[in-house]
Amino acid sequence: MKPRWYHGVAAAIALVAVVGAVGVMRSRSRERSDIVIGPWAEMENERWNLPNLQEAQVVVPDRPHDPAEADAHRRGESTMKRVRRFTVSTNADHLRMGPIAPKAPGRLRIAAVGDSVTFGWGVRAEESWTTLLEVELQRRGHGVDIINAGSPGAPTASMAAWCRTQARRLEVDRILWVRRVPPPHMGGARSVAEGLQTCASVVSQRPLFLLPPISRFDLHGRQEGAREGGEVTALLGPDWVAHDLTEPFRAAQGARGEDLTFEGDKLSVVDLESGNTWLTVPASPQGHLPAAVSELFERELTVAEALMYDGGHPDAEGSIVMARLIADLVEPTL
Amino acid sequence: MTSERREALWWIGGACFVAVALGVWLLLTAPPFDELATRYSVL
Repeated sequence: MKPRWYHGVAAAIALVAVVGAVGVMRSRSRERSDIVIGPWAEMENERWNLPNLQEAQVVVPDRPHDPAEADAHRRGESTMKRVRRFTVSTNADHLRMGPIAPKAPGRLRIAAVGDSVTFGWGVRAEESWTTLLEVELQRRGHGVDIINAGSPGAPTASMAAWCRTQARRLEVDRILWVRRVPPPHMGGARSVAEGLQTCASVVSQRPLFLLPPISRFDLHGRQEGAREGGEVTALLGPDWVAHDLTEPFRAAQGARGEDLTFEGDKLSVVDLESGNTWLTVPASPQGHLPAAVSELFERELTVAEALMYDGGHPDAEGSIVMARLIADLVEPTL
Repeated sequence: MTSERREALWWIGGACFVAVALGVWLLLTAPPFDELATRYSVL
């Protein structure tokens, strides 16, 4: 076929379209998270980590945000630019850690059963508090191995199912239950009490009941959090203790980073180091994080809570603090 | 219309169709920004 002028025009149009589409796909893939969880038949079809993931990419907000903002993202209507990326690899046992070696004689195997905080959401696997807890306890002379049995967004039913179906198989000696209490429509304190009892039935020593720290920017947590542990132990009996890490974590935050303060029906974002107020806005009657606060975080990249990056999860330094706090609680039980 | 014009129309029209189809496909397959991440980021 003899080349004609319109062949060139058609080829140019098609080329521009294909190059444009590839560009859009590439830029999209940078913002897209791979799927890292799904139902697991061996665990009663509860949702858990997918097995054998290799460097799955996850993109998360790198600042406090309101759930409505997350919905806006899903609709593509948000302007959230402040994000962080991390990768997730899992072993054949659906855990975010390397292969589990056969248990050595005299070693104590402790499973930390929890949600995204235990999983190490937003940090590298080697920065997760479970890895650091193992290092810390071994440094203190204890022959322990820690299993990271955390899964992002794990409801209490998944955590209980993990204990029921996996703990014996993996020869777990002790369990740390690490999760805030879900709201009533997700099972509330009763589901935690039942989960703790389930986990207690598969090990010789009662699980340690730990409540991860609440962020200064978690408005709901700041209102409800202090009651959570007591609601669970009231159901379980006086022998149970809830260890809420919020207060010691706040102490470690000290006068660093930003805080959210309340006065009447207004809230302010305050720089704890200088004492300066970034902004003061009316508090939302529904307890949502005001849009102006989100905008401040987007605009001023130095505005950040110490030790936590997104209003719910510890950053790498926060994970070190968590590991030390938990080591202090675990050590007397060894 | 000459045969050359008709052929040019087919070629350019076809290329435009491919471009529009790619655009529609991209629009329809727009993924959530970080569905998993945002769903579970504040627990």
